Amino acid sequence: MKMMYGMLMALTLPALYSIYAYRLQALLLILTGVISAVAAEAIYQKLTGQKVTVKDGSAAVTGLLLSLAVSISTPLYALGISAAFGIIVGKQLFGGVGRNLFNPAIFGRLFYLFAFPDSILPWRQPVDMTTAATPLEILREGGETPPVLDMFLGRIPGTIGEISALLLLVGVIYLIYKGYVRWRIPASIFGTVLVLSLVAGQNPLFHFFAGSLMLGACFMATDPMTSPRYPRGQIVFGIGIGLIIMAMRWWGWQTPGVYEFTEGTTFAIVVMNLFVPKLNSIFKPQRG
Amino acid sequence: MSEFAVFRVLSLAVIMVVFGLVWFKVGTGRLIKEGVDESQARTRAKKQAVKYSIILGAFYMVLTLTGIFS
Repeated sequence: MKMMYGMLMALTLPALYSIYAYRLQALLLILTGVISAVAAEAIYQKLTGQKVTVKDGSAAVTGLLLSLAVSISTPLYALGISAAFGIIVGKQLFGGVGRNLFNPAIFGRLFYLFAFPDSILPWRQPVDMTTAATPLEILREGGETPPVLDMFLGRIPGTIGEISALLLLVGVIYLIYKGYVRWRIPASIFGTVLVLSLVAGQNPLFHFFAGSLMLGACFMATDPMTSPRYPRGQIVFGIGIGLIIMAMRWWGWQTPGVYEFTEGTTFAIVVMNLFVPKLNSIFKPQRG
Repeated sequence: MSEFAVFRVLSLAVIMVVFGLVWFKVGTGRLIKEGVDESQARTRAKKQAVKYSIILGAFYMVLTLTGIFS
């Protein structure tokens, strides 16, 4: 429970910045995400005769994470349905916290991308709300990408919670300091992205701050219920996520029109979540 | 919700439900053959059916989004 409230605390700054950047609509999205997730969990548990556990904060974390991972153009109903789907199908049907294979926020986001792909557009610039392309879209089109400093500080369009890499970084440093997240996972994701960017002759900082990498690597991939238990497994898990993200970013750019999404963080985490039981059994320390 | 979204969600639901039911049926039969008590076999097969149909659903969404089914 402590960890979940720590997570909420760590996400407060990005959430406040999104409200500053996108005004009332961001606040409505955040409220919709959190209320839908908590309500879905409570209703499901009530209907199935289980003890209602929404006070543990895990559903609120799912709702907040999901709402921070959607575009400002997202209709509230699309977010509400996706949050409920993430909680019920991604968590409760597996048996609840600790038994779920997928991170419910990332599962909800996958459903959001699947069911409401048109609702992502248009991307909007923070504060002035003008329509704009994301840095990854600009890179795919071969245009001039925004300065890395703008990406770091949150002066670029993107999902409402991922625009400021700085504030996400502050949040994850707090979580690592508190011992709530497994640091090897984000470290190995960033390490893999760093190496692959350098090999491709691209700026690694651009890749760190673009798309959902920061939010996904620091807050979604690190979910203790759906990530490997043992250190070496965590490193393999992180490397796998980094490889898939970079492969999908490159693949997307090389086949424009075929693959319209420019970001692969959601897919990478969902795919690697599937390997967690195997990684836990392979890397389980031997006794004696 | 657009027609496109409704169609996608329905296709996902149908795939998951049909796969889950088939898994449940086959799984129950297999467990009973192995000598497991019928009610226990049903419970175990149901858990497995739910798990694997959700995994299939995740794969279906990922593959659709990455253009494999388009």
